[in-house]
Amino acid sequence: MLDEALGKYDTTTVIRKLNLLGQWGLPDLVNTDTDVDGTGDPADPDGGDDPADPDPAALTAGKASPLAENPQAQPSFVLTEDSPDAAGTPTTSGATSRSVAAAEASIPTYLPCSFIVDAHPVRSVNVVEFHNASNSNGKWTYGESADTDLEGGIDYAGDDKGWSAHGSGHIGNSKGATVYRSYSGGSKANNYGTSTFKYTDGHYQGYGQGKWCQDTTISPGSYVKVPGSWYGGVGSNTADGSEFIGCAKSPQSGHRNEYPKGSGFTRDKNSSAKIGAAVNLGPIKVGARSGYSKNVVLHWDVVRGHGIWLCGTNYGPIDAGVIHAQNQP
Amino acid sequence: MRQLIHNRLAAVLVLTLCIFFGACDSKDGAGAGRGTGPVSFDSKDGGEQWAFVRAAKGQQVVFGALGVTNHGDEAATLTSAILTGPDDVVADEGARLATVLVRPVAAGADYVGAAVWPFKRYAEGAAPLEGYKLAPHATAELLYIVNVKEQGHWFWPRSEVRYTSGGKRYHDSTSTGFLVCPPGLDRSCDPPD
Repeated sequence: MLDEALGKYDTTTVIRKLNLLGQWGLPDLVNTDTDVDGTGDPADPDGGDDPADPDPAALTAGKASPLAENPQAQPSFVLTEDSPDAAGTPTTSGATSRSVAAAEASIPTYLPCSFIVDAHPVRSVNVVEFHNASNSNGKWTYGESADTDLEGGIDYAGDDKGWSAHGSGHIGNSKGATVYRSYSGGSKANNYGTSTFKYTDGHYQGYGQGKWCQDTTISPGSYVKVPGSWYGGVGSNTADGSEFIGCAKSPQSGHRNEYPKGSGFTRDKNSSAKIGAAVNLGPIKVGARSGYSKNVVLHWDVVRGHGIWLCGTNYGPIDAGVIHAQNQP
Repeated sequence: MRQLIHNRLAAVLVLTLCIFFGACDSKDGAGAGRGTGPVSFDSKDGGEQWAFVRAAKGQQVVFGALGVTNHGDEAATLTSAILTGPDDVVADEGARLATVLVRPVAAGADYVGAAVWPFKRYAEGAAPLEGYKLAPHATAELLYIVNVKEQGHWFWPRSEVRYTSGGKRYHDSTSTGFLVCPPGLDRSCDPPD
């Protein structure tokens, strides 16, 4: 409806939202179609085109995402001057508006893209948070059949400003090698144990005009950093979150086991807590979760003093994701 | 024909013993596996971990890292608890489970992971497990007391508890176990290969 007074189309009853991919979404008030993602599956309104969770396979291989099997059904709304969100758009006349709309509508939704590998950097990843008290000899081992779930990163805008954690890649260990770090002779430890992983850094280069790379939910110009394989090595760091909290104070004091001299505890297979900032991708830090399996061991052997406590923050050491240690008085 | 009669008699005898001693388990009774009854170990099953202690021949040791909780609304009666080896074979050649005690624990109480027994004041207030009434929503620490008959590496990867509740028998087991090693702090305490 043309608003004669304002000289432009009346859009006051139409609220459109610009999504992360620069698309205009349908107005919620009038949209009764449950297939809001345009995938043709009304039972899965979130499936297929969630820009915050694109298919990792599409990122690593640069191929079609199985979540975008019906690209023609993707919504394709163009920005017009009368849109309530188009604050900076020049407003002239309805005719101009229509011509702009027509021009933008001619831009195809998809375009062919190539995934360009920029580098294969090796990055240090926190695979475990480990605490040892000076009364015990402590050791963590990462190696054969160890598994780690690592997050990657993506920058949809390609401007190096909008990086976000992206997906989760499962990195198995087929090298048959083992690395470990031990703390003996009264050495304490409150740190993250690290190993290194090879990544693939790259970007999607588009050819021609279009909003997304063909059959994907990736916009051309997006940059990604994808975990690839375990590279080996061992190290540690004392980044935030690995500080000593011990077992003497609440809540850990309510979840502790006593281990006197001559005793100890070994965790051979369990699941550790997700480490919030496991790897620094440069623009952002993303997480990792390492599963303890054969040869991925946490070990405390109490050999001096009055023994130690082992504890967790919400559970005892038997179930805690991160086990803390402290000498007993 | 004589063989057939013998077989039938044997089957009847087995069934009778089974019923008499309560060793025949239905799906809702003992042997039904973890999680079917109201009492369970506080540790998750699936992960492999163990407490260990070094001990000389003739010593007693305790494994007390595990608690059990009655999640039901009526008391459960604990009947037995054992340490088991791989494939549920009890490995007690050189070390034998002497008894299992139950120690009521208040919220926030320490557990003894593993130690030479007796240890501190853990025996105080502890009662034999057999016949122990675990109140609804109560938690208790199980103290597995082991006699070390021969010096060596003795390893039980799993722990098990059996109990009755509401007239039915259940059991629960978990993959947290116990390892006994010879004395000597200069040697690592690891399970036998």
